[in-house]
Amino acid sequence: METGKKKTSLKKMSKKELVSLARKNGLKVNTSLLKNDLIALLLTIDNKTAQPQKAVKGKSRVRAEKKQTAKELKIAAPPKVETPAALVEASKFYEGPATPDQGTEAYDVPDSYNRNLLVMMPRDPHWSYLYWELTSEHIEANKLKLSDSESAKLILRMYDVTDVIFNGNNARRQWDIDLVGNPRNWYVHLGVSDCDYIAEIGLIDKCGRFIALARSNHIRTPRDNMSDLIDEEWMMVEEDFEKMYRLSGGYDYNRSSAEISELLAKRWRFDISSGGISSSGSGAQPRDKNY
Amino acid sequence: MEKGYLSLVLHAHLPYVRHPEHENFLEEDWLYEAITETYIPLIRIFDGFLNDGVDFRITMSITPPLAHMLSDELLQNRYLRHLERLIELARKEVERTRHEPAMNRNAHMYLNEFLDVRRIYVEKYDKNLVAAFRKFQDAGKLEIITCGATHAFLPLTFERATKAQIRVAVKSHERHFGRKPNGIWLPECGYKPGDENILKDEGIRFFIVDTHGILHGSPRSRYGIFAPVYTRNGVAAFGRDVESSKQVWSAEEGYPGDFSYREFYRDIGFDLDFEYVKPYIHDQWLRINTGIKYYKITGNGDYKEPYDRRQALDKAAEHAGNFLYNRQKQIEHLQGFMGKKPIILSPYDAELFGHWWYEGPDWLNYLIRKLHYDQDIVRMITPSEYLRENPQNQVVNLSLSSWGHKGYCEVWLESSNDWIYRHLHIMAERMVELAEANPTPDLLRNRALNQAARELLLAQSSDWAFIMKTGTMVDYAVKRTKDHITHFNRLYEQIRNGRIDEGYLADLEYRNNIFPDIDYRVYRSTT
Repeated sequence: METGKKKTSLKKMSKKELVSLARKNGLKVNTSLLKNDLIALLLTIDNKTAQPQKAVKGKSRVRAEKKQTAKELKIAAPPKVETPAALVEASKFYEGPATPDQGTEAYDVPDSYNRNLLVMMPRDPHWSYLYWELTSEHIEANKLKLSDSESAKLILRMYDVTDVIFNGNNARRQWDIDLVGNPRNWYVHLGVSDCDYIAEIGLIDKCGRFIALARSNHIRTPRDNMSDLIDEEWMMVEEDFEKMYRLSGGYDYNRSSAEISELLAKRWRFDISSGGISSSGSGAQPRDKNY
Repeated sequence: MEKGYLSLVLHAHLPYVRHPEHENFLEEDWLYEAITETYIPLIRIFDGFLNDGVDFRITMSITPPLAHMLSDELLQNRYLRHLERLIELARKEVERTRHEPAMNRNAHMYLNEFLDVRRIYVEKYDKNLVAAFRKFQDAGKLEIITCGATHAFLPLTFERATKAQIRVAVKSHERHFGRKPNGIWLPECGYKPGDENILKDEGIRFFIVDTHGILHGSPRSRYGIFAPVYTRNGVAAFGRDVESSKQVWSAEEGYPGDFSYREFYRDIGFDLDFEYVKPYIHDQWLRINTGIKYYKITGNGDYKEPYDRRQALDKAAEHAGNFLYNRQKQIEHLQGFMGKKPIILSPYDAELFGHWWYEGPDWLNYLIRKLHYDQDIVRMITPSEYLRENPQNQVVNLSLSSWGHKGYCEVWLESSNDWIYRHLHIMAERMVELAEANPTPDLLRNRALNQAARELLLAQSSDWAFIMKTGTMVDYAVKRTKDHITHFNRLYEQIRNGRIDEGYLADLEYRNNIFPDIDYRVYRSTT
């Protein structure tokens, strides 16, 4: 590990941790030293002999030979996942509760690619994700077309275009979303599954005049329940299908079928919003930390 | 005569992690651990079946990055170095624990295990595990299927990039396994309507979807998930069985959570003195797992008792019997109801067996032997065999789905990872643009174009988004994503400007050497 790298990781430690690290490495230090002094001292020792034990946060570990009780030992916390399958998948990448820095710092990636576009992706039956890029020239040029450009604000206009060849005016329903806080992406609640959607991003003035700056691709949201369509060639009585569906794990065993459809539908509907509308500014720099 | 079929599908995958520029690299341990704990134990039980004349059928997806890493000389040698260190540590442990009988038994267990792993790896298969899996394939026992080239989550990947993911995968598969794959494990079971057309173009006959992909299909599936369905173009889809999945997957309700089994989160890399374990963990400042774990799950709290191998094996045998009994009951019931033989398809991450659930390979060993010797209600089958025997199936339009939490795209599209898509999408667009604009490049430009394709593919691994979401090793996942984005963008500019930096290119080729015979023309629309 190069000195610069080591310095960075030392800087992240608390003064108390630095003191104990220095003492562990045979340096005679006392707590009156400044943090920077401690770092400078630690940098003088050979890289390989200094081991800041980030994983244990300065707490000294019990010796191998010492009798250990479970309480003394910190058991590594498992990764945060929701399903058993995800827990297994996460275990493939699990080497312990703390992760070291390795190699060089990550590159910065561009915030934008100097284009004007809007992209929509289906997240689940009821939500979609949109990201966009708009150049300031494009926005300014279009602002001029509005009679009241002062009041112009950026909105998303959503169109339900199920069974429609969309021409800009014939959506089955449409609604607008105010984009508060200059975001670069947004999660949109669509409401109805198994439908087609298109979105536009554009400027609207207080008279309600709208100018689209970019139109998205088209998406179709997945179904969230069983189809009403029963294939003619494979006709079967409802009772049979219900049973097949249940045996296939479509719903819990001890519930009635009315409860079940509700259960299934509920699973994907409004409770799906975890962290949904939290999009402002999460663009290409998801954290304020530099990688 | 059997009353139904059981199809066990093991999805073996790790993202491509290979860092020749570092002498030691922590994330390479993902592969080493999986080799020691999963791939070799699986190979060992498969060899046992062959030796004992136990007929068996397993389906495994071995993804292109995994196959590539398993055949890579640098990683093979590094794995051996890793294993030698582990053996050395296990020897020390045998000595250290000599006064603690329970621990000492476990220390011996690990030492013997690692020595046997080395025997299989070096002596039996000459470090080539792809050849080992291929042997079982050629014996007709193992059906090996492919996956996306780098495990891209396809529902969030646009068409041309999806096509490249599939085509590159099929080619890589053919190179490693000597034949074209009949089937594919769609990464994360992620299916979006229309992808079957790409699969068909590449000669793939079946894929696997999560339960609701079929149950929410239209028209309704006559047999639920107990028979495959055809998409409009005749590519078959098999659905995941919920009941058998739960029994094996679930840490609470399932077998792996049994208190007799080994505790995963309790490793001597953390339990013992730092100075003592330091030489065996990493050339870094941090503690990590070593793979030596002495405790059993014991209970729900922090209190842990020493692992008892004998007790754990008895449990694995009992659980195998229980699993078989439940499948027999399930199949008998379904068969009576359906009037035809049901197929129960149970997919698992391969790394569940051994890495996560230490006794998993033993369980599988017991299960398959019981299936062979003790009964004739359930017959093991591969999807290809099933389709040969049952060519007629219902046609259903499947629903977009995945096996991730909540069943759709949210795991890979949420606030921690959604920033990647604006980059991945433009990279794919630019790759198409480059491929169209450069039909007959000179040698250097050809190399740059191929490397750009590799960087794009590597950036697309769903693993990075998954890791960002789960919160461990996040920095690495972010860095890998940003690195590949940056490499790609630089190559793009260089190719467009006609000023290719050969030194830079050669360095990327040396580091990111996956898909040696890739042809960037896979991104052309005319091919």
